[in-house]
Amino acid sequence: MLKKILNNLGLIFLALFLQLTLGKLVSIQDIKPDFLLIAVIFIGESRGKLYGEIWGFIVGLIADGIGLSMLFGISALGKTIAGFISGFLHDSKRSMGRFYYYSIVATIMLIHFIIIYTIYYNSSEFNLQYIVLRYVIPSTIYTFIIYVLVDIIYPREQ
Amino acid sequence: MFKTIYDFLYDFKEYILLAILILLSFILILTGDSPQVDRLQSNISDTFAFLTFPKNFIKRTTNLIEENQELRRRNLQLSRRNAELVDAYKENRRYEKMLQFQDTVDYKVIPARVINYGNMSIGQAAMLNVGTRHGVQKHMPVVCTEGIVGKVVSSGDHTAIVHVFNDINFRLSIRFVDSRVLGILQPRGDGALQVRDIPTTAVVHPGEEVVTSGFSDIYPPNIRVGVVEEVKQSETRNYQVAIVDPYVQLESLEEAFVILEY
Repeated sequence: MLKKILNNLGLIFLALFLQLTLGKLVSIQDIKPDFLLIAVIFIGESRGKLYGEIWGFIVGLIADGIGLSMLFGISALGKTIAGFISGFLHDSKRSMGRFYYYSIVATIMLIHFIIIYTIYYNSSEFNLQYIVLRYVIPSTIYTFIIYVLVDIIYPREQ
Repeated sequence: MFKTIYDFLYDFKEYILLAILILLSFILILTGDSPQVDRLQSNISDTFAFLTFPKNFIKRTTNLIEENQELRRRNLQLSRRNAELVDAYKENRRYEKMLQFQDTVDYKVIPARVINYGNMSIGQAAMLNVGTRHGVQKHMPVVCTEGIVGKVVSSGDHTAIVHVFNDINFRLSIRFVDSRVLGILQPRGDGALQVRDIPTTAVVHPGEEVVTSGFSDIYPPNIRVGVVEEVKQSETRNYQVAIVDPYVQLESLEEAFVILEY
């Protein structure tokens, strides 16, 4: 139990470190990959819905606290939901095909970014279409690509 | 009944917890301006601020490298600029002196720049950037703010050749300011100037100033020449010889004046 908690903590700190050091360096047109979201999905997939949403909430709070988002609580909301949904992948990765697995992961990311960006840009002059095309979809694609690369390099057998 | 509630809560714990966490997130978003949320955010920030150290270290290091290169480049530019400014300042001071000189003298002068000096094959001469088009004629005296330079020996349209005082054939009628003794200044050949054939009864002393006498058709009177460095007996002991240190350093001369009329 403790070992799993420590593993999760290590993963989160690694994701935080990458987000803070590499986030801006690898950004394209202000779109950065969300390493924390990847970590939350990993945790939810490996530990289930309960741990996924708890860690998602904690990670989201930390991200908001250290200034990775401008609205305190928004990352907590998005990552809680992402962590919960990724819990459905628990023990299912091997049984479902790779295509379905990655489709679900992409959908989780999409939901996460829709929640975050629509709430954050709610009071701006941007309409929903612009927000989706300019921020949601590019962020989803970029983060998904990083996720796939990590999954290929470090496949996690359940 | 409690067991039913407990079983319900246990079976749907993930969903119940999800609802609670979503609610909590919305509360945090909507009460973002409250002091409690601010305090929470600042506590989280303080606790996890150490995670930014590696990023800042990397950023500082790369910035240091870039900054170092930029500073080296700027240092080089500033050194060059500094040298130019020092040069400009000195030039400004010289021009200031020249302007003051022009204002104080009561004869008509034209300023000139020394464009060549010491590169003649025979003799010592300087070349000025003024000529007949500026009113410069042969035999006009040339001075600078420190004192006598020489006289014009040749004048073209735009340039003039000046016979300077350290040429072996140069002669100048001078007067010792204190003793009022007259003499002829000439170069000694080794760069020094001397006045020979001074009567032994004349009291000329080291430190005494030497000026033009005014008895020449070329040079106006009282133009500074130099200062007596030494007075000694001639070989025959019939006369005195005064060694004169000129005020003007010809090697560093850059500007001069041609006296057009006096």
